[in-house]
Amino acid sequence: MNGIPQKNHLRPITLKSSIYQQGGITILELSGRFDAAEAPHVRQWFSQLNGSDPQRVVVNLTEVIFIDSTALAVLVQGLKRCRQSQGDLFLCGLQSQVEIVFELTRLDKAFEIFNNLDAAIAGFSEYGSKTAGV
Amino acid sequence: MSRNGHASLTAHQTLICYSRLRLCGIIAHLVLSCRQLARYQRLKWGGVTLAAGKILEKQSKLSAVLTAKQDRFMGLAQAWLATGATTFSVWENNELLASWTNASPTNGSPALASLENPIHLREKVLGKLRVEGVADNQSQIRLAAEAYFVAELIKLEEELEAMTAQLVDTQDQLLALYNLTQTPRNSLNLDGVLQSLIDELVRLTKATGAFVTLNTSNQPILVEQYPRSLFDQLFLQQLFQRIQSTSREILLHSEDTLLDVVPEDISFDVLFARTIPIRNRTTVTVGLLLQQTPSTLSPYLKLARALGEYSAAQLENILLYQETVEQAKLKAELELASRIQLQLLPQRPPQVEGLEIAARCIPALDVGGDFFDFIEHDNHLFTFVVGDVSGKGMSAALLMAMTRTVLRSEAKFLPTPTPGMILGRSNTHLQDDFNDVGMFATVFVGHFDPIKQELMYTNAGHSPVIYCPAGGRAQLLKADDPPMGILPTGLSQNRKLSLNPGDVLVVATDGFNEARNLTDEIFGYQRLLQLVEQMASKSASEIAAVLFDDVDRFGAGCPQDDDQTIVVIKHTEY
Repeated sequence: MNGIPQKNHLRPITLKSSIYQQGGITILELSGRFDAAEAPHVRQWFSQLNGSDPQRVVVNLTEVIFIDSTALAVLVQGLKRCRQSQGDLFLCGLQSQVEIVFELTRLDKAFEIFNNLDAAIAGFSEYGSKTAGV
Repeated sequence: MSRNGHASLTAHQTLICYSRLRLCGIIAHLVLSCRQLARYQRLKWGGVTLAAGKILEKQSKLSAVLTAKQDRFMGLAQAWLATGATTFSVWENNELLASWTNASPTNGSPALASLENPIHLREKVLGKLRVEGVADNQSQIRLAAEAYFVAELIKLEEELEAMTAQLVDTQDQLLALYNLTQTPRNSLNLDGVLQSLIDELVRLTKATGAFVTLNTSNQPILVEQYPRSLFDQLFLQQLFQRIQSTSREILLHSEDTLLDVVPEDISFDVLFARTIPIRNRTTVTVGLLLQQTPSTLSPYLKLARALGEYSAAQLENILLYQETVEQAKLKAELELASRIQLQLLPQRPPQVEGLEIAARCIPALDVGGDFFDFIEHDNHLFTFVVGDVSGKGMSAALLMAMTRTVLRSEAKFLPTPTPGMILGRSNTHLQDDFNDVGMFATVFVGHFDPIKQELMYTNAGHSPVIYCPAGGRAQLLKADDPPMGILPTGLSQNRKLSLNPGDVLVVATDGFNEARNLTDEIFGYQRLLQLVEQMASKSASEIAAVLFDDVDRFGAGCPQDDDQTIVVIKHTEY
């Protein structure tokens, strides 16, 4: 279900994604261009997350070379969804092009952003011990 | 039964049916048989109404020919009477149908001599011819030849009748086909079409029972039957399973236990059902109860298949038509929404002392979430707002209208509004609504004080905002807060920017920097910054026009993906 018409085939690099679990954390690794053409797939993935369990998601953007406003909107939706389930969504590995967008829109204030995947996973274990202590 | 009814007619009634003719000296007694009269149900004859209901019987072949070819029989009779016979008569089952008698009987004495010859047709005796007054061998041969001739005549009549019946059948089928093709033009609701499909299917295939169903995922969602409550949902589901297991078609004989549910008063030999896929998971199933022996079944099955395919095509057309209508309606509504949305935006920028203001919004095809607004205050202060609600379509448009209204009322009614207060309070108001739908809005609020020549602003995630001081480099102003609807903060940061003569501020939406060309390249911030810098010495409206033009030229051939909104504020030189 790709709602964007034909121009996709001209695209040199499209988004690739892989998903895996690590210690109760779901890691979504994206690479390529994360834009309006690709955002629906990611949105769909977020929308099928089980709302009853706390969702801990790391979106690894290390390989993402470009991000647009539609993609940002999808990440925000994912963030809200995770937080509603008492979980969270962390970002990691922002390239400078991507980082600028987050800075321009001040979304770096809304997301917890880590330098790399390990730091993000570590962030969750801290987070987990914090919430477990409450 | 009716034969008895006929036989029991009184002499009086039989006499009424006589027509007495005197022609060329011959008296003809034609018993216009009561059977024939029966064709006219209730016929007035000499003031007596014949209750024909009880003697409704198909006119016998002999009397039919006698009626139709009266003059031919008359000719035979005349020839007999002219050659010495006293009476020529036609009989059926020892019952007189017609007789022609010489008007001047010889000597008044009854002629005893008589000849008879049966009329044979396919080894059955249909009646007889009788002549009185002659008895010679030659006459017998002649009478036999005439009986043969009458039989041939009956045979021809029969054939003609059969051909006429076929012709009528064919005509009827053609008419039914015509009706079938015309149906969708007349009624474009599914129920109506299903109903007329059933009617015509039954007519064309002479089915004793029929159904047409529209199914999604093999579940009937719309059922039309003849007679109305022929089968229940359970039966249809079981039948569909059977059809699925075979392929697309099934032929069940009346002994099949599945068909035990068919009401007893419906006689049939087979149930034929065929499922035709039309689109996605939608199928049409046509079922017919046919009363046909194996030898006559085949053409009806072919017809049923063809009609099934045709019905499915018709229904598909209707569905497509309905979808098109729905889409057209939706499109009209969206266009209306889009117009209303544009009208929410200020039609022309206000006159503010010391400022040149240009503003414009070009919505993408969908209704979108871009907006701008101007609010003038009594003390010459001036507030302007540019925003972009994430997403597209009606949801973005609705949130945009809400956001605009809340921002506007905060700007208007706060005693001493600052951009930070306006935005912070609005964010608090709208937080729940944004959260519920998982959306957000980037908003820039600017507040110009002409006395201080100062712009106070707050930027909630909005980009691009370009500031170009007179003669200087254009630069992007970063946001200080995330967009509205993300964090439940109540207060946003105020920033100050001294706006000197010649300084330009361009607040656009991402429809500019994310505009694409055919090779999927985006316009980007750099081009925007360069353009603003190049154009900074021009008027606000010229800057706006050039930005629109350049982005438009850049994306030539590509559809505009997103709304493009721009507000250009330029401090005019004194």
